[in-house]
Amino acid sequence: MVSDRRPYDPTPPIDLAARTLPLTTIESPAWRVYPGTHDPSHFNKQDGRFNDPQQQYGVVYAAATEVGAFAERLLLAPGLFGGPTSLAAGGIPVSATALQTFSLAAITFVRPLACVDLRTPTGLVQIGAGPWLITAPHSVSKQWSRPIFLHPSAPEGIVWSSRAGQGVVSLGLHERAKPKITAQGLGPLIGQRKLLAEAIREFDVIIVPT
Amino acid sequence: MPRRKQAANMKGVPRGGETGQGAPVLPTSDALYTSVATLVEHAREPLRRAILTRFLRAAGAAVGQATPTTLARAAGADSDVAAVLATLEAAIPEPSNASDDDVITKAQLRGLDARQRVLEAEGGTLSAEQMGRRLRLTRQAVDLRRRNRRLIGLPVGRHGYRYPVWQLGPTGIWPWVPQVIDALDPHDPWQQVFFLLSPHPDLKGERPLDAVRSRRIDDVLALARTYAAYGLG
Repeated sequence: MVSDRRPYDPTPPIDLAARTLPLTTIESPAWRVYPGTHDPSHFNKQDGRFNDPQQQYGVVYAAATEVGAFAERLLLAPGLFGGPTSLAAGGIPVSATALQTFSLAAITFVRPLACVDLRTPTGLVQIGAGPWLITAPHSVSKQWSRPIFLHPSAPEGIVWSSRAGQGVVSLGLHERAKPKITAQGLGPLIGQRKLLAEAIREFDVIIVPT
Repeated sequence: MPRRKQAANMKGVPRGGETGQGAPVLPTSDALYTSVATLVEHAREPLRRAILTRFLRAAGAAVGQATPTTLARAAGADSDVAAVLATLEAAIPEPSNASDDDVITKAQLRGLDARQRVLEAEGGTLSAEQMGRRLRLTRQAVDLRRRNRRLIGLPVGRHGYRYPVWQLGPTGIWPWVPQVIDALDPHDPWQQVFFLLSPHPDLKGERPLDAVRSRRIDDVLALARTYAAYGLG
């Protein structure tokens, strides 16, 4: 069924509903970094890699590890600081204020969630995509949200390898999984010393005093 | 500080000719002598004394273990603070061997340098008074625009706010500035500026600031909203 598709076709195949999705089960906890004054289990209907362009259902984004959640939510691309004499060279800045504004939450599931596994080329090809899907602009990846959400197997989310790198595994949990999800806020990032140290080691984060 | 006053402040600090070993250890004309005299003066206040003790302990350890390469790099720094930072930063073990607290401290030290570089980027920043002159506004009116999220003002501690000059166009504040600020909510002004000055993968590595300058404002606003609500991934 995939023979008539171009090697890079950014649109979902018309037969996606008839394909077998690469499903896997994801166990809790997952981790989320969110603005501390907001609901840690907020299902975002607008902005994210696999949001519904029609905004009819929300997605809560999380990561498999604390440092992954930090990287996904706050990190920018490196390249702001250059020069061999700069202490900051190569680092990714995060403001000290952001570490107070944003908090960490643990997301737990009452039972493992059935998610579409896009972590491997095999899984991506199975749905008619390729590795480009997880690095493409969101305007491209969002087109895949609805056909996956509406698939007869009714997946509860999508799991993929983040373009943040370093093995970060991202989760987009569909709103239909809401009754099975509990989020517990753990406080501002500035108090998460182990997480901060790990983010600095893995991503060369620089903490900028504000 | 007049030489006579310096000498009066130097109680307890060995001077050349007073060590009983002949040759002067520290001529009073030496810049180090002046610095130490100032320290001794500050040490009369208990709180300053406590902080100075910790400063000097850290400085002594850092200078003592610094390699010639580190010292040469620090000596070539363009300010005293930059020289101190370079020496202290080198004294902290590499992240793989350091404790979590050491790793965080090192990242904060690098953050001081990063902050300075951001303040100097793209033409630098203006004080509220300077920005007011450029906009033909009072200092208070500039402050009001900052508080109303119409203008980015970077907080710099007791020095108030610094205003990146690149927010100004030929006729005032670029119209996209308040739009970007709103799109990046809830990020603080520093994180907003990091976003604008960092390469963005969805702009093929171009910086959002360059994209708005080439009038791709809608693209940048969409990316700003996504970064604020979700992140970059």
